[in-house]
Amino acid sequence: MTEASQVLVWIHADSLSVADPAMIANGNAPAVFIFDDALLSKHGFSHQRLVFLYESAVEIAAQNPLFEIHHGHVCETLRSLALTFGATEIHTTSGIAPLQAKTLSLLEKDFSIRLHEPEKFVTYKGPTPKRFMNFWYKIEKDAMRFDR
Amino acid sequence: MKLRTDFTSRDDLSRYVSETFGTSGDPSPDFTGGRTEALRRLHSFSLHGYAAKRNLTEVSAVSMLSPYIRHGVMTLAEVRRFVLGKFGQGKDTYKFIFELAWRHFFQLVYAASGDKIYRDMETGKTGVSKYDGILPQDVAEARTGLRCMDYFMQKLLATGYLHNHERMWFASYLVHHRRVDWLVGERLFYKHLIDGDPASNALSWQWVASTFSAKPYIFNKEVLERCTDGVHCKVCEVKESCPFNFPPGVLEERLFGKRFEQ
Repeated sequence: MTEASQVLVWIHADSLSVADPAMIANGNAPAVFIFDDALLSKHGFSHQRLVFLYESAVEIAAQNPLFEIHHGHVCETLRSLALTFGATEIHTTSGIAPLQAKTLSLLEKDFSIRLHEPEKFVTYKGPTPKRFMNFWYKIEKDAMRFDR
Repeated sequence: MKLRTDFTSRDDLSRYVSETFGTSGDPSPDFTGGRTEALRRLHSFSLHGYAAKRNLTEVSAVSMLSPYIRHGVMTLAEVRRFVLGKFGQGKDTYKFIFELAWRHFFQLVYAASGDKIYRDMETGKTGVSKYDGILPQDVAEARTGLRCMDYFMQKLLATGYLHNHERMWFASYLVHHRRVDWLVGERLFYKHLIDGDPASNALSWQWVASTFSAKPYIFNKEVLERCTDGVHCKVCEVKESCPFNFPPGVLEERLFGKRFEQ
């Protein structure tokens, strides 16, 4: 991860994969996964959880020489790495964790943010579901269809 | 701070994790991280008999893919597509995709609610006005005397994984029998479960507690014994004083002073 790149890819814990859409879309860009010190401190994750995450990240590193693993403050680490590589864009795969949105909102005044969409399980455009069975009856056909 | 990626073995990586994050213990014996392992599991998973056997804790009928799906190592969508392509339509496929849909359901609720999932989504239906805010010591130390619950706690700590029904039984015991706030259990599971997911975890606890469902989830000894092949009950010393050894309606009256519609 030494050459300048316009894009920095942020791999987060909801898309910790060599198949991450943001990374695939930016094959020659540096990418990073960051163990969030604040979250680790808040939740006190077990050793097993951390080893699983680390192993998943190491596998990405084995296949992508531009991928690094860090720990620290997520927003500041992303900002620092983006500046190091001269990146003007931060790409990541869309997630639903409020912390992701908060992190990106803190970076968007300094960097162009691009979200890549993961493949959806089903297409559902109704109101927020409240009971599972009602939801299932609405998506059942779509979920069970092979050729969609 | 940049971290290492060059490890000679799993033990080497595990030691480095301990040194870096101050944790201790062994890696999970059941789960190795990474997409290679996720794909191996997916391709070797047999759906045959899934619908009939998925509730049985002593039978290897479930996919054990949840840690990989939770972390996006592989997606719900690709698992769904793979299963339909390999096994076609049928009751096993239907039930499996039905279970995948639960995760998607929880994700949609989380996307709309954000951190509100850590507060009661609805008023609880139990009528119980007060729940304790700490994990009882005997539960934490797996010495309640109930072989099933003590086993679930030991397994959680040792492996970072519980079968879905083991999670539900443990949650029901903690919330309804011990009157512990569901958020206490949620924190415990989130810390240890390798597949610990904000949405699935918090909302499942709320589903059991009845703050995200129409009634509290309870189970009785008959169900637990049947689904576990009696492995816990056979060696349990409480015998006749088992708190779960009642018909469902009687249990509801004992726990909540009322019966819920079935």
